[in-house]
Amino acid sequence: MTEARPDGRSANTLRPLSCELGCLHAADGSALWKAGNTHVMAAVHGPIAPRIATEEHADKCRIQVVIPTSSSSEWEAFLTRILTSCCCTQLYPRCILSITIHVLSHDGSILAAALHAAVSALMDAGIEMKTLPVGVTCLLSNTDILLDPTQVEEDESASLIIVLENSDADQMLACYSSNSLNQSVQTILKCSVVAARVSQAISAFWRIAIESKVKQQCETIFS
Amino acid sequence: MAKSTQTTVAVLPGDNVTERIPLSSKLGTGLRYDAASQQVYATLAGWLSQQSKNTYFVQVNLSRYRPHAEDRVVGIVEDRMGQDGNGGDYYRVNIGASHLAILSNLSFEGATKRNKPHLQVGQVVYARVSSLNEGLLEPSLSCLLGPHDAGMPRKDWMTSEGCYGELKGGNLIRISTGLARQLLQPDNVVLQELAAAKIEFEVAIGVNGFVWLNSTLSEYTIVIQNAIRNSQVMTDAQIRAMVKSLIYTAKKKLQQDRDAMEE
Repeated sequence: MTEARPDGRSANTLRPLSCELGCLHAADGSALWKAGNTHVMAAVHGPIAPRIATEEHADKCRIQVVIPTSSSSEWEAFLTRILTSCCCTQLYPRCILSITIHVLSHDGSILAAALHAAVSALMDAGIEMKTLPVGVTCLLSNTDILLDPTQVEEDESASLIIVLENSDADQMLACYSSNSLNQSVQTILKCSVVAARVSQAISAFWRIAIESKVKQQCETIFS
Repeated sequence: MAKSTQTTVAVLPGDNVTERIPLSSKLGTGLRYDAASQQVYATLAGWLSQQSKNTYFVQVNLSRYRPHAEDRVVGIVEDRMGQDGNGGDYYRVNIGASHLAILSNLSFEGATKRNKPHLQVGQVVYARVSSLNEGLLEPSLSCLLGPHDAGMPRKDWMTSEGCYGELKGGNLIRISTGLARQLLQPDNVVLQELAAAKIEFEVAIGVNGFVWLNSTLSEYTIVIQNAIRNSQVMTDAQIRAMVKSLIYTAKKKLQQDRDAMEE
């Protein structure tokens, strides 16, 4: 039996999504991702030459994620790992890609929104990617799994974020738990099945967002 | 770049586009062939288009330039690196790419140890990317005529009539690489309209998104700058109207200034 959530959604409903590309003109790529009241902005600078020569790899690109106001660097490491596996880093040797994430408004499921903002900014910057990772936050309550929790819901119970590759349930890229307790494998697999269904919606939304930008360019620049 | 694009579809990274591309076509930027599954995937978010009969690529409009050999670019000299063994100097040139490019002042037509150009920091040059140095070093630029410049006359660097070399005076603006490629098309609307307006100007467009403008009057330089920047988000018909109104306003102002001076 499902209880009503504080904002009236059902267990499997996501909050309304919104994505604005190219909002920062100074950056090579930028995106503002909104999921309900969680607003995250990502800016990509790169590929550029690193300031410190020892930071460069001869055969691939190094990705740095910086979240200026985050309390821990775990989120930065998590996002760096995912983005490094998704980008074609061998196409940009001796470069670094610097991704800065600003959380403009906190209302739960921030890490998933940060991931989506970062990936949207990478697409805006024209960095070649092998797949698009989709992140879904699952809240483990007593009765069932609630998706895309708000801050109020996250304060009560631990949440788990599942990152899938191209919305495929079999291709889980990563998962991260917000408290330090490890989740059991069954829980993770159960969440990933639920997440796979919902991530199709996120991928479809991404397609709409990019298509509208590309179609506008088609009439003006690419004609 | 073909004007009519038959495969007109927006693609996202990770999309399987094998059906849209005939076998035995060449894959350009933004497309990746996975040998294990024998499928073609898109790696960029953009417009899947056909460059020529056999080549497909994903068209994107980026601000950062990715160099390719034999691209003609406009660059700004940033720094003098040092000397090579032959009596020339190496300079670092900003071309809007990930690294600064290298230009030797012996790579100018007719340049020798005793007779070579002295490049100043901040100077604008029009050059071609002679080599990417396989990604191990910065890309190299050259102001010598290259394999694609067969019909151009070979003039010494001391005359200003050569194809490549220093660009003196003028203004430099930065635009996106997509708009730069659009400006280089022979039927580009903005430049056609500006030429039809009978104002004197010269322009050097680099595929890296750096555009050098020079005109007799600064009012015209500003008009050309604004016209080029605005054309990025306008359709052809809007561009014609925009250019006409900008030229009209500039000429009216110049006429008013002339009348005021005569009084």
